Amino acid sequence: MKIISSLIFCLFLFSENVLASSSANYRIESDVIGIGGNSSGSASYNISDTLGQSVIGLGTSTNYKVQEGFWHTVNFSISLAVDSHNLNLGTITPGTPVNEQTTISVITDAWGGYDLLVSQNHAMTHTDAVTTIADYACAIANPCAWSGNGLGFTVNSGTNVEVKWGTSPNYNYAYFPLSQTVFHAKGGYLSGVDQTAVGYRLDVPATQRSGQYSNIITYTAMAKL
Amino acid sequence: MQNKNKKRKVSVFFLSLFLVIIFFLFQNSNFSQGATTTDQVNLSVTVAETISLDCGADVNLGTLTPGTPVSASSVCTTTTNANGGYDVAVKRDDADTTMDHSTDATTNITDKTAWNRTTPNAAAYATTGLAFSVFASTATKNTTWWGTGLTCHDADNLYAGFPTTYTNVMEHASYSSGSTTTSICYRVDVPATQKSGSYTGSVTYQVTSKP
Repeated sequence: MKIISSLIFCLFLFSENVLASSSANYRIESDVIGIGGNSSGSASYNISDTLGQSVIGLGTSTNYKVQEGFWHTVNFSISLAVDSHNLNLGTITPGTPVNEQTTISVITDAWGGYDLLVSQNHAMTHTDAVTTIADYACAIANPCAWSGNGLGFTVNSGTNVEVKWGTSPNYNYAYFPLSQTVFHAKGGYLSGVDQTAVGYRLDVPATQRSGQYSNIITYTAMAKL
Repeated sequence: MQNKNKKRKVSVFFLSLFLVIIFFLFQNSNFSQGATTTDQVNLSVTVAETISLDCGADVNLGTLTPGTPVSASSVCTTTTNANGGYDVAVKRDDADTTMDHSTDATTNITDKTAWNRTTPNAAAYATTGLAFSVFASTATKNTTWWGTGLTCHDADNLYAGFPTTYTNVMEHASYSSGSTTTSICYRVDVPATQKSGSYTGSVTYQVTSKP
């Protein structure tokens, strides 16, 4: 019996998904105590299932609310809107960077907050369909101070902006990735609109072919449980 | 007693196996993903044209003995990002002739017939007068205009006089990622009666980028 007790103890000690609560930011991931279950999905559908869950119900206090039972609370709503769908950075003279900004507004009832992701369809491309403007040198994981040329972005303002993005006027910049990548995480529930301002910065070398360049930036907000 | 211990060991084994499976089931679960929504921004920018020109130092044609032409050249370097390339034009800066006697402005060296881009009129150099030819270019050399000569002293060069207004002498119709050069040859001869002394004059080159 001692062996069994030890195994059970170890199970709950190391399995963070079972009791993934933390007190630092009051973030409590969705927990479940059952005998089985998992999340799975296809291109069009996702399912999170639980087998053998025994404790269900609704509990509330002045400041907290807990909903227990078979994933009946995962139907979050979330919306994202950008302030302009067409952003013209204007005319750039090589060597003189241009700056612009997109404000992203997110509304969600997800108690875990949300992640903001971004991607570009391709580097900014000339109307000749061949010539491109280089991406900025640094990645989202490690944005860096502006230096040189390329298209980069930063987080100008928002809720709980990550330190890595810097502050005005010393922002740090990263290139837009080709696949959706988290660049800002907003933790915790927020009752109203949450806005994040993304700053664009662009400079080109003197040899950059003149003319018009364009691409498409896609922003995604993903609710967190 | 042995049988009981054996059963107990088997039970412990299967219970442990069950708990390990449950453990990994939860480890592989990803409960942090919820609903998603997206929006797009069409980003655009226009890169302006920039262009610069450097035609080097002054050119000294040396000492001219009447009847024996002398030649010298300039190399004009153009740096531009223009999508449609660029044109080089030239004009003389003095209204009457390009070169005047340095102490007697009324005494000139005759110019050859001025270059006409519309009806190209450059010809092989003969007799006397000041003329020029575009003998080389890393951008575009128009051999119909300037002949097939490859050097400043090439007998296959065609020459014309400097026009009084900016007139294209080289036209390049595509983007160049680096600097390009246009080489201009000056050639002059004078009649035996030409007043001796120093003659000077200036011409101005102009480059124009094309979208």
